[in-house]
Amino acid sequence: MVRAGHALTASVSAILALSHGSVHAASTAPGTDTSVTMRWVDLREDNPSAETLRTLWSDRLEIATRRWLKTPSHGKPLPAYTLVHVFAFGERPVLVSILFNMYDCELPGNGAGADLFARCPMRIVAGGAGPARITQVARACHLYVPEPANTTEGPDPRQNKTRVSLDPGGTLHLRVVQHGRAVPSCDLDLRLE
Amino acid sequence: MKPFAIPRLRSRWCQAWLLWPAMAMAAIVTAQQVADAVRNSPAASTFLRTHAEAIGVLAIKVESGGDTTAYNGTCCYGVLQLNTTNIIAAGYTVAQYRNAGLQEQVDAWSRIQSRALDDPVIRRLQAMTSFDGQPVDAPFLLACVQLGQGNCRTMVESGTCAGFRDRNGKTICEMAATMRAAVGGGTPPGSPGGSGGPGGTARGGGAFSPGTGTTPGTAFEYASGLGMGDAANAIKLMAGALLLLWLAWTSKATWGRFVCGRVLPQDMTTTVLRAAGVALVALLLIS
Repeated sequence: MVRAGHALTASVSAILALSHGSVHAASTAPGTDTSVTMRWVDLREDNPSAETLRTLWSDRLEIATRRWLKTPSHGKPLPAYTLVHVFAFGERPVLVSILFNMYDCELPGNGAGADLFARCPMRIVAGGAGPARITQVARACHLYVPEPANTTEGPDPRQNKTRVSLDPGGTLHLRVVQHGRAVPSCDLDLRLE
Repeated sequence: MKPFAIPRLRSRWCQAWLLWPAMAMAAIVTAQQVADAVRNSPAASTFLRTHAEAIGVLAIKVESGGDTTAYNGTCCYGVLQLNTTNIIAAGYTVAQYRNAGLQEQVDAWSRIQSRALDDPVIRRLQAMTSFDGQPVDAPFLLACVQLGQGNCRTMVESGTCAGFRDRNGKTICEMAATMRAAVGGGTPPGSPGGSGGPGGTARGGGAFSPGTGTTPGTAFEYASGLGMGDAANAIKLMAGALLLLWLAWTSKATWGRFVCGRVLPQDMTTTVLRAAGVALVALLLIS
């Protein structure tokens, strides 16, 4: 765990304001599944959520954008997204965000037999009294599929998702469900200080 | 019966017409068109452009059969079967990508794969001449990024081809071998030989294009995705079937006229003999 520095510290309060109306308390009943599906945010959008999350990932996005612009992009901005969720851990809000773009993630393969999840950087911001703390994970599984345009085709979002939970002991649990089945190689259990 | 039959026929025609838009959307392209699209792609790295022919083979022989609207039922779309996750990473929605033309699909694929080819594990592989008895050539590297750079790393770190298998049990080495065999430049593992056929090299070098020395049969197969023999058989089969259908149709009509007394018995005998001859020709074509 590292202390938040530079622009991150300044933006943490704004980031944590995202929690308004969507906070989940850490589980109080051990053994029960209180995990939630992480919300998908398009970082190209012009709204407060996207703006504050862009600040959280500004260092990575700057480098990725430079790489994106090396090849003709026809004026399109770098496609960048994040899966996000905010927990209430006692008095402290805890934000979990997994960045997704082609330069920061290890993308899955293509064709029959390919997995759907990527491995991307994750940041956990813990607010509360005193300076915010940010924990970074180099590679966390990231799985998000949109609602298919054609309802008879495409991976089912209900069967393919990234879920997260925070237990009362302060351990974050990340789980990925692919084609309705858990992916054990994606399990991540991270004790937050 | 007549008033019923006509609406039913009309209904069937209506259904057939409804299928036309779907049929029109299914754009089938050749390996050569895919290769040209790779060469024309501003997003393609030098490696991808150099091995554009191999990517054409990958599209036709391994992934989609050349159908730009293909969906494999689990994850992947388009002529090069780009993963849903990678489609999003490239900045498309699935619907946009699936309805995109060949060049746009190839551009998105090239951007993703050019990035994957930058991975240190691919550079490490490029420095090798062989891996677990397999040549590290263009098909091998392409198979590596097509099945995922992370999976490629898993295989390389294991030291064996079996170190990574996809959800269908396929290894990167097997996919590379399929691509080599498709161009006629080698044989899959376990097959006898392996010294290479016309136009390609089985081991090392990375030379992987039909180029000079390609037989007309190989060139035909490369461009159409279908062997000359297979194409000939398909044409014969269709001709035979059409002949039999025509024969059945005319025989039914002649029998009706015979039953009504409008065809003399001696003429009927001649007709039957002729029909038998035509049937024999049709059966020869089919066999």
